Amino acid sequence: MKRSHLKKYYLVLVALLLISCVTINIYFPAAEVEKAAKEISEEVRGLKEEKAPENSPAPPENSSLRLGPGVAYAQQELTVSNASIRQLKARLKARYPKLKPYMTKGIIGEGADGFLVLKDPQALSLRERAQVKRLLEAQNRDRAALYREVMKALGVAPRDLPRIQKIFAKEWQRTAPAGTWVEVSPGRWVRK
Amino acid sequence: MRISPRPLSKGLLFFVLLSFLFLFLALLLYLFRDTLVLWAFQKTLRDAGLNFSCKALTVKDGHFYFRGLYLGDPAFELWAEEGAIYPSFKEKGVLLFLKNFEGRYDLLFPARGLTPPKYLLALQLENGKLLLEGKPSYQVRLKRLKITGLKAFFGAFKAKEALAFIDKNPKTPKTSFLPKEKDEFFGAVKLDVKVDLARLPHWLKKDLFASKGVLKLELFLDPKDEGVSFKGRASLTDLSLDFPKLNFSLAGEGSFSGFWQREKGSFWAQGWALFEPPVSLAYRLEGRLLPEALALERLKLSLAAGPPFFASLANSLGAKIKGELLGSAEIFPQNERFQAELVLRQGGFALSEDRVGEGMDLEAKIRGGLSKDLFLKGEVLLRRGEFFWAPWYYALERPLRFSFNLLKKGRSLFVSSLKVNGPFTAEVEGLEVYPQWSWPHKAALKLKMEDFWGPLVAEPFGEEYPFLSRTKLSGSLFLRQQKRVINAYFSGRLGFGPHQFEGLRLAGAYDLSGSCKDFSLSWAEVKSPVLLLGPLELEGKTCPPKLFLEPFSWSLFRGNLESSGGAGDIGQKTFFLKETELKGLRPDLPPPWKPLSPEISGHFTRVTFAKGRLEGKGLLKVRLAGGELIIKDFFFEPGVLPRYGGDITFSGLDLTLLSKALGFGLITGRLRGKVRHLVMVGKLPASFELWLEDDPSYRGKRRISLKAVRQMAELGGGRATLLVPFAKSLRYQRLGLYCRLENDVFYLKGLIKEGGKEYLVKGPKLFGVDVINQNPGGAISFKEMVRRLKRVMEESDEKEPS
Repeated sequence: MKRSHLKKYYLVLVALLLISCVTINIYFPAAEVEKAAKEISEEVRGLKEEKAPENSPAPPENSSLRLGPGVAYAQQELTVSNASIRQLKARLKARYPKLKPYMTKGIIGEGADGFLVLKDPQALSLRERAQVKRLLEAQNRDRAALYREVMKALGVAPRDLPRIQKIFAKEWQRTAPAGTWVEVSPGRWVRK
Repeated sequence: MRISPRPLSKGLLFFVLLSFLFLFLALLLYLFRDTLVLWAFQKTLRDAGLNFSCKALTVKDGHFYFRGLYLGDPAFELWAEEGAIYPSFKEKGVLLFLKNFEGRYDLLFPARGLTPPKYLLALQLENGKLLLEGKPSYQVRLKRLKITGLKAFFGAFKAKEALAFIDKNPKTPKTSFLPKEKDEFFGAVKLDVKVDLARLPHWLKKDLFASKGVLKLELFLDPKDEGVSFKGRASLTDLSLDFPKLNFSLAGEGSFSGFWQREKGSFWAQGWALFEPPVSLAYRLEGRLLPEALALERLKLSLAAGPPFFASLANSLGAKIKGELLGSAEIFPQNERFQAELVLRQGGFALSEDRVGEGMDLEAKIRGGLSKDLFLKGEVLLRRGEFFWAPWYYALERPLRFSFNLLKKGRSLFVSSLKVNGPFTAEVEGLEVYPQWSWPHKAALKLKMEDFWGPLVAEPFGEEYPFLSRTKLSGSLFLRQQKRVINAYFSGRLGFGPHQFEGLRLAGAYDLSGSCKDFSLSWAEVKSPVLLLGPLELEGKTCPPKLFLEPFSWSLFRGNLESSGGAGDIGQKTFFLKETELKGLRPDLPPPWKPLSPEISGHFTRVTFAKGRLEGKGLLKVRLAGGELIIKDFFFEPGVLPRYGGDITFSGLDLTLLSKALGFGLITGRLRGKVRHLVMVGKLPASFELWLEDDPSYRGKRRISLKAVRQMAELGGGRATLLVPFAKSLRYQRLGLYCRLENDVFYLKGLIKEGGKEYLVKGPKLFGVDVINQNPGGAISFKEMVRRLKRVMEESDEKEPS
């Protein structure tokens, strides 16, 4: 009798342990964000031209036209994108050449949160400081809008927006030109 | 035998008795020596006119030590817990030491005046207070005071009598203790004063704005017949000034000299001081010092401060400031007025990274009154400077002159008038600036927009809204405010790229109290290569927070827009137009769209702007390419990435004209279809649904060129190799496709379904063309579609097929 009681107790205990050890998985599409970040940062920096996708096999030739896109290359194009993201990318790209000289001189740095930082305003005249500040703030506003659009496009919860920013920050830092200050960890800056 | 004593002589007995008496007296004298000395001392002082008493007296080595001392005469009284008097027979006077004392001295006593007792050689006081009764009276608290050389000092004054310590007998010659010939008595009296500001009474500290500090004063007095010369050194350490929002530390030292003229009581003093943080100060004081009063008549100051001073001040202010300052001031306390001049060179400030001023050269002249209601008048000339107040930057190229009158009433500070002249002119009257800001009684501002449009609008906001960088506003702006009504007048022109709006006028008023005022906005002419816009006149009323627009009409693009007017809420940022009609607008389209010749008309029951979105209830009709487009439910959301769209239905469009304009390859026939839920972001589509098909009622030729077929194939992602010799075009019977853009993905399908196949183009059985969708439901990315469209558009037009 005692043994059977003990067995029951052990079973209840195991059940309790199992219940308390439930792991909750929250899905965050890190791979998609990384891919989008890589693509966008390279395009903004002008490091890569857009490649045309590989052609699917040609349809048979006759007077009737076989028409139909291959599914394969449709899928490889499906990185996160929408009209807003495209527009924002275009704006970031158009503004980047004006910012680049200040990045290479170490005046503007890439922060760990995915935004540009004015590292050395004293090196600029007041007029230049005003111009650079406006450029930087406009660029940061567009980056903030970009992260929100990526968040919406991928269905990421708003609380995970900082994660998207961090992933983008790594890519901005990777593709930043030589001479740029990058914040490798909060408060710790290294010059490329 | 009997022995009988010999009797003592009477003389010897007398001597013994006398000796005994003497000894007895000596013993008495010894036992009561203190009392006797005290009596003698008291008598001496009484003879000198002083009353004296004490609770205990000790005499030691010729010095008198007292407990519970009282000294007094009609003009003077002193009580001390402990005291000592050291008589000096050599100097014919006494040195007085008192501890824990309290006294009073009547400055106005007729026979005494300022002349203290002549027998006082030196004075040492510890812990006490002294009341100097006069007009006004002064109470002095002393921690420690030692004054030596008093006899020489007092002796320099003509004295009619001197204390003869030993004997005061009018018949005997007086011993004069007055010096015969006085040489230089420089430093005859030296005063060392140390004042600890932290220990001052609260009421005095508050007026000084000082919470702590130590002032040391070394004063040398040289009495002369006509007055007293003085000089000295002063040092200030650890001075901490407490102004509102400013905590400042100061230390310094300097020297001074001066002269007090006895007869009139007038004096002057001048000196210099060097402070840390580095400020140099030169000053001169003039006034009168009389028994009944001290009156300052004039104070003149000059100071110079450089970058180290401002750097130190900046630490206290929590903001960076710099510059080189030269200043001078004259204060006339009796007339309660002052005047000052300041010159600042290469001045600058940095309240934060985004609020900076640099290169400021400034001159100021100020004069004012020191009365209870402060009056301040002056001029400030700002010759040059650069200012960054994010996002605005402004470089002053022409001097800016400020003329102002400030008034203090009670605790409030008013700008009774302020005038500004320079790149702009401004006037303000009746503005309260402290303790809070209020609306001025009157204000006016006048400027030229071309001087300020760039710095105020285009430059700071052009990065975010690029169209602003292409916009230029020039003309005169005049703003006037009286009580709660603001009037605005603008006259000038607006340029946007190649388009010029000439004769632009704005006139209106806004009453903050809510009553209605008129406004009008108009322009006389629009010069533009493409915009055919006529003059416009808008009139309405502002009734804060509401705005009302009168009915208006406007000629544009060879047609007309008429509206019944509208209304809005400025606070809520909402606005609507009532019945609005467009008639016969015929804009010129650029090539190759020119042949389409659109004509636009429309009717809206309401056009509303609310929550950042413009919406129209009604429809717009566009006649073009022989057919008609109807747009309804349009919307527009302005912003950095403007969004707009609507629903479009079209019919009867000539495919020949359209395909020519698109450069698509010629297709004949008529087109109909619809676009639903079109949303454009900037210049690119974000989403839509499109149905396109040929118009079955069309009875003309239906042909499609080979180029169009190839292009269609290209768009669809396939390839066409057409083995149709000697033909430039092929026949088709039906045309129909559906495409959808959603989340950057295109879905394409044919609308013609026969025999289990999906056709985009269905041709006749002989000598026609079929375009079949081999992958219904397949999708392509927007990016890929754009690539295909680019390739298609790169081919040139062909002629219409025969």
